[in-house]
Amino acid sequence: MKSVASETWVIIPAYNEEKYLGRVLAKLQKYTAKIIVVDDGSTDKTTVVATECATHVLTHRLNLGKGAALKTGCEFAFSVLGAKAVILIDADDQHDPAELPAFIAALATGQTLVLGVRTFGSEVPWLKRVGNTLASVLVKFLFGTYIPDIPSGYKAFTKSVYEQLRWQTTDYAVELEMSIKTAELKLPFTVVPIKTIYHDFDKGMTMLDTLALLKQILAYRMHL
Amino acid sequence: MTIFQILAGIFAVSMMYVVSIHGKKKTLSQTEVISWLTLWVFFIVIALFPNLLLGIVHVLHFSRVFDLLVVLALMILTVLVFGSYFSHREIKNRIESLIRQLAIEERKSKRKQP
Repeated sequence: MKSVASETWVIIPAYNEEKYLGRVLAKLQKYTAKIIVVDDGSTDKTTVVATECATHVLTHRLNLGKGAALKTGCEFAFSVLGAKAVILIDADDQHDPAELPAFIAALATGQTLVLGVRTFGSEVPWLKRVGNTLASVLVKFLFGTYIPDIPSGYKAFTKSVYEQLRWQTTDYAVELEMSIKTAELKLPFTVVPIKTIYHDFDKGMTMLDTLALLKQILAYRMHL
Repeated sequence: MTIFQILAGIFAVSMMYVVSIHGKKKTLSQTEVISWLTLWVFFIVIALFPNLLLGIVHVLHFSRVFDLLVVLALMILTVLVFGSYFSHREIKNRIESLIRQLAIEERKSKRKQP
């Protein structure tokens, strides 16, 4: 019987990431050869870059959003490749592939859901720190479980967890929906501390995104 | 006849023209064309002879015919917006599902190639 570690695939959703995807894939190859890139309708050379390094490249003919790309990647990994677990990582080089073994080790010990949680230092704007914490507190208040660093896209889960998490969101709010389902279903999880990497090309959340996030949390609470 | 009635009449006739064009292009079914034309004919009649609605206005305790028309218009708009919202969601879900399925099938067929 194959171990979880040997049947774990890394999924990278990518949209117009030709500039950074190559760097991410080169770093990732040091730790795994099981890489799936989902090109979410990019108009640049993302697919070309991905084809050079990734094991599987799936291409959306239209841009659907991060949530849809992750869903495609997960369905391919679990249904076609027979994966036992997947690790999600962003394509914009804001996650360190050197932390991948920590996720795999956690899965190997029987954990079914592993969340990458950033340790926020002074390099992170205080507004983002406050927004991030506020979202976690609100989820705890409304859904009963404290989920740290909700916007973090670096996470791993098994097939059984995916079947429970199955999200409807197609865009960036997918992380929120996953967190809320984790809280609502009281799914057991463990956290892996990850580095906070911000680039000057940071596509991270703005204050408006945070407000939209808070609105979305309330919408989920009301099952809208 | 007031300016408002003339403008309302011109607007309704223009809309009937748009409906007939869509009917000819088959983007609207015959039933839809008839329903929309009936609605616009009703609109013209009411615009020209608002007193026809006075009985209903009194029964429903509206102070003016105009108020009743505004409420009716809002009700129709709400139904249309509601309908198009769900139709939009359904189409979005179908497109998403199709695109994701295509991506997976394409990759599967590439894997089978020697």
